[in-house]
Amino acid sequence: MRPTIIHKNNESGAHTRRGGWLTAEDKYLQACYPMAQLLDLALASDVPQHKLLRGTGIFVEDLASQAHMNGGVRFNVRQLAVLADNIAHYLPQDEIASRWGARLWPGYAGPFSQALATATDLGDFLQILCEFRHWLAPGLVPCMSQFNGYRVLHWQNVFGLSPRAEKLLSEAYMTALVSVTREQCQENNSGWICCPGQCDAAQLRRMRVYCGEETTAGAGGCFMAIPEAFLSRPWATGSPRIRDMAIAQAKTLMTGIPAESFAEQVASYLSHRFPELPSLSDTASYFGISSATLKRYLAVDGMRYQQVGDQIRLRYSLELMHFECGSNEDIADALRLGDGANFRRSFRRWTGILPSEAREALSGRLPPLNVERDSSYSSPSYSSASYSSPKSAQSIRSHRQ
Amino acid sequence: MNSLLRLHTRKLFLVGSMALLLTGLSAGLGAPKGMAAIDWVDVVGEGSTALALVIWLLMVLRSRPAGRVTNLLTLGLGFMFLAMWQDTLDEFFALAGTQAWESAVESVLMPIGLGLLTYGLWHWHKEQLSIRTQLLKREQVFRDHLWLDGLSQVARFEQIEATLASDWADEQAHQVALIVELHDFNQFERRYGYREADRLLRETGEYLILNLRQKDLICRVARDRLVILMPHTRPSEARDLAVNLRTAVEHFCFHLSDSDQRVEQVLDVGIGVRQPMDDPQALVKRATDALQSAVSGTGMSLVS
Repeated sequence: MRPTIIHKNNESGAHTRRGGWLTAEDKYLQACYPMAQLLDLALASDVPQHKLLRGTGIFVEDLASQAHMNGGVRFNVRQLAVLADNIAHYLPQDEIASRWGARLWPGYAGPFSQALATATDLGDFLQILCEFRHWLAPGLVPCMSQFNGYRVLHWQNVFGLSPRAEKLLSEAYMTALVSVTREQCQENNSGWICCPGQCDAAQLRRMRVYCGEETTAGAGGCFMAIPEAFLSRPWATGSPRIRDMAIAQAKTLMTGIPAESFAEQVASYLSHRFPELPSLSDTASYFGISSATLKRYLAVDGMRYQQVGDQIRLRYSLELMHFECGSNEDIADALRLGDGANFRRSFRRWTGILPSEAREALSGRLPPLNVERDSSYSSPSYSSASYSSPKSAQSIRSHRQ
Repeated sequence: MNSLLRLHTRKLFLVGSMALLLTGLSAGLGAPKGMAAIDWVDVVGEGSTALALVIWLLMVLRSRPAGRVTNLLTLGLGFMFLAMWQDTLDEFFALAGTQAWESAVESVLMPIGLGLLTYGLWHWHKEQLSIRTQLLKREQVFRDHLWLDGLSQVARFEQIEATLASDWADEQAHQVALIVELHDFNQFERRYGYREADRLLRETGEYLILNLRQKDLICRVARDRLVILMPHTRPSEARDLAVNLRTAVEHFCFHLSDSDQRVEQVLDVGIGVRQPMDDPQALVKRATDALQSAVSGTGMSLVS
């Protein structure tokens, strides 16, 4: 079904717009949501406040209690991104991202946090997290898939965040997920294997302390994986009734605020056409707009059409590479990229490293699971399709057939 | 203004007003030279020396609390700056030959300044030796300000890397590495917040330093994970020392701020023992593996 597109009215803002999509400029995040904790940590450092808040449009007075009367002060993803970028710039050695992540969830985001706190197991938690992703993990989008006995979760940049901001947020969200899983399972080993993408030795060392010794850099992307068996282990604090009430309340708070960004809508369409990558004009005509308008809508969030397509192909190639042990030729075939050499070139353009280096980085860290493997490949599920009930590779395949 | 610089406003005022006085005297008593008569090479040479001296003076004052050493360094650098400043001024103003004060400023202030600076540096040297004793367990043979950890006040892991790399050829130097963590620190941080967790880290770091030997080195990796190097120590000795550390931390009395509540701490210790083919990373990895089994086991583990 074609999505209903409601043209943006710049003056209306997220509060009043019905339908449409969420942009990085929409002010919908209340200060008590994750940003206040991040600000607390950053402002406790020696770096002057005006440097950390430069370009964010955030004033400490905004955080005063009176300012929140009637939900007055709200922030947008762009402000969070600039703040994250400033923190990463001025405090590169500090553990602010990991420390923020370690206490991020369930957090203090009202019914959103309450829903997380009463999740019955990890699978349930991930589903809630994906549904309310823009409130609980603003800036990055968690994309889930299931491969060869593993649940894989990619942290996707759909708001054109700077590399520094993306790195800080992904580190925080990975740490948050590991920290919650550890706490609920009452075990030191959370089961998660985190791959934070390219990072320096100090960041990797830090992440190994916070996320476990299996954490690996240079696997080609920013993702984490956990064996499916961990997802159904019951959590002691789970309560389906309270969770459902909290979810209903959270949905009320979301009324009038679009659930996904335009880049997510485009990605969703491209995923359904996968492995074919439709031309810009084809996609634009699917949305009922011109190519220039589509580019302009994406540019509002700092995204490009090619970038959205590349993100999907990279995500899928990483899953085939690491979780299906696909060769370069297999992946090139699945992505319709011609031959292995073409895939190698594309992979290097997307990630800056060779597929062999990415394989080497993760080799031996993913224990083989006793799950029946299929010789053919499935289409990646993306956006809202993957946020609801995550489907197995096989079910997605049969659905396509 | 920098908080330390604020302590030295009088000194800065004195040097500034002396420089202004000299400028006024030269302008009032001398005659301006024509542009053709000014030797610009001298102006650049002497002027840049004066500028460098005033920058050094500001850097010293910005980084030091008040005291005798600071006063001596300020006076020394200040006199040298004034001498060079006068030297620069006489490139712009021609003073009559009878103005003896001008040559006196140049010739007398410079040696006095050098003498005071040297005397100040001698005391600074003695001060450094005293501070070095306090920092010994945090830095041993290397110092790099970039390795200082703002959170726990011990050095960062880079200090351990540099120490291991420099001593690795001597097989007896580092036979063991210890990695320690506070049990359930994550729970503590979640329950009591960042501020209390920071204080706990700082105090535990200080407390562990007190319980280590002079030759040991302690650094922080991340969160509450600390690495301890015990040079020229056999694994059996390291085990005894680790038991002592655990006992000490059990008796460590951490009180929450604004409350009488005491939170007891337990230290998990992993000991890695060096093997013949190891490199420094392998030793640290072995200690980390030992810590993993210590956390899920009895709180202490040795992996060789």
